[in-house]
Amino acid sequence: MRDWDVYELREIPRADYLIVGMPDVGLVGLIASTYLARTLGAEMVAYMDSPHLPPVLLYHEARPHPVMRVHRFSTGERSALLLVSEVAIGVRGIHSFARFVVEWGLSKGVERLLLLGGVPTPQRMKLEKPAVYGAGVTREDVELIEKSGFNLFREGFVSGPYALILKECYKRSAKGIALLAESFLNYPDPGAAAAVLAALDPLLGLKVSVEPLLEQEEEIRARLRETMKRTMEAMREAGKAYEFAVPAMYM
Amino acid sequence: MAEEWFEESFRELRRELRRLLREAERLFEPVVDAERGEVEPLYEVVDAGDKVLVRVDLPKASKEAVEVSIVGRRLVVRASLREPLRLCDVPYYARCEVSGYKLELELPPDVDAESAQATFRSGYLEVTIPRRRSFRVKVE
Repeated sequence: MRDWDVYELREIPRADYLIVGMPDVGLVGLIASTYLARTLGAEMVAYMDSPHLPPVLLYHEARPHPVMRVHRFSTGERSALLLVSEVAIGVRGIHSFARFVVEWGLSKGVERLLLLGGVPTPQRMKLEKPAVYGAGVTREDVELIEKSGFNLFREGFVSGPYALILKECYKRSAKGIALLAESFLNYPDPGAAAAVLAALDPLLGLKVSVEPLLEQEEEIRARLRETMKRTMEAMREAGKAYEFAVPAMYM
Repeated sequence: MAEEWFEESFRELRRELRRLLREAERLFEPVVDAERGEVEPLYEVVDAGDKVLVRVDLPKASKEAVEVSIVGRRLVVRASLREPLRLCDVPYYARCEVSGYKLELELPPDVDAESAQATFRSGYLEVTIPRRRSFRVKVE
């Protein structure tokens, strides 16, 4: 078995975007992408597998349910592939994962990768509405972030799998934006996930009603406690603490 | 005098290391007490210089149901849920009904427990415990 494999369940037509939702800071990517797939009824068109994934097989509605799924949906003229990962990848697997995801996405003709996630802030408890930052790769990405009205992520670190995916995009001059909402570091944060989903509107012309997500906020937080705990272990391993360090350029 | 100070500092360091080790080991403990129907909430301890902040995630608990106490150096947080939670999506705990949270933590030795304050908002509890102030002794 190679490091990463994709199993396509049917022929996948070209898509404009590859949206990625991984469990990370505040589980923002996981909550947002799962909610998006469910709300849009997006069909599962492929799944990914790797020896780097934990040895678990989920069951859903009496059938095996891959932990790393690819869904597809369209919004008017735009189409997107949506990668949802239920599990965090250990540090030994994230480099090969980033390469694989970018290569696969580009092979499907995607114009841009969109990574959904959180940026931890100690002030999160006091924020009613978290701000969304856009970390872009190319000049076009930066222009799109500014045009869409997000805060441009100008200085600081992105770490973990999203950092490596952005770096792969950079190496290939491919377009990629990480949409990062201010969030709790180590508590599941559906409020931040709702902020990220709202940010998809100017990019995809996709209005997602986030009220049901906010209504279930406490239920989601209670149920995802164990996933958050496991994700924290992977984040520690992947050097998430660097996000709080002062980069040498400021000294 | 200097030797005593050094030994006490060393003992203090060892106590702190033991406390940190115990905290690290907790990561691998099961998170649900099936017998009592209690679950350990997610939490973090922040060293904010002159105070220690303990933040605890208590979704589905209401303010009236949250109890915070400090006995010696142990902080105990208990809270009952507004309605029982079934963790049916985790087969190991499928038959457990969770009705509350319980968290027990050992605090650093230099905190002033009597001055602790707590706030609860949207299911998040924050306990602020000031550190005891050090003062300079005039040498005659």
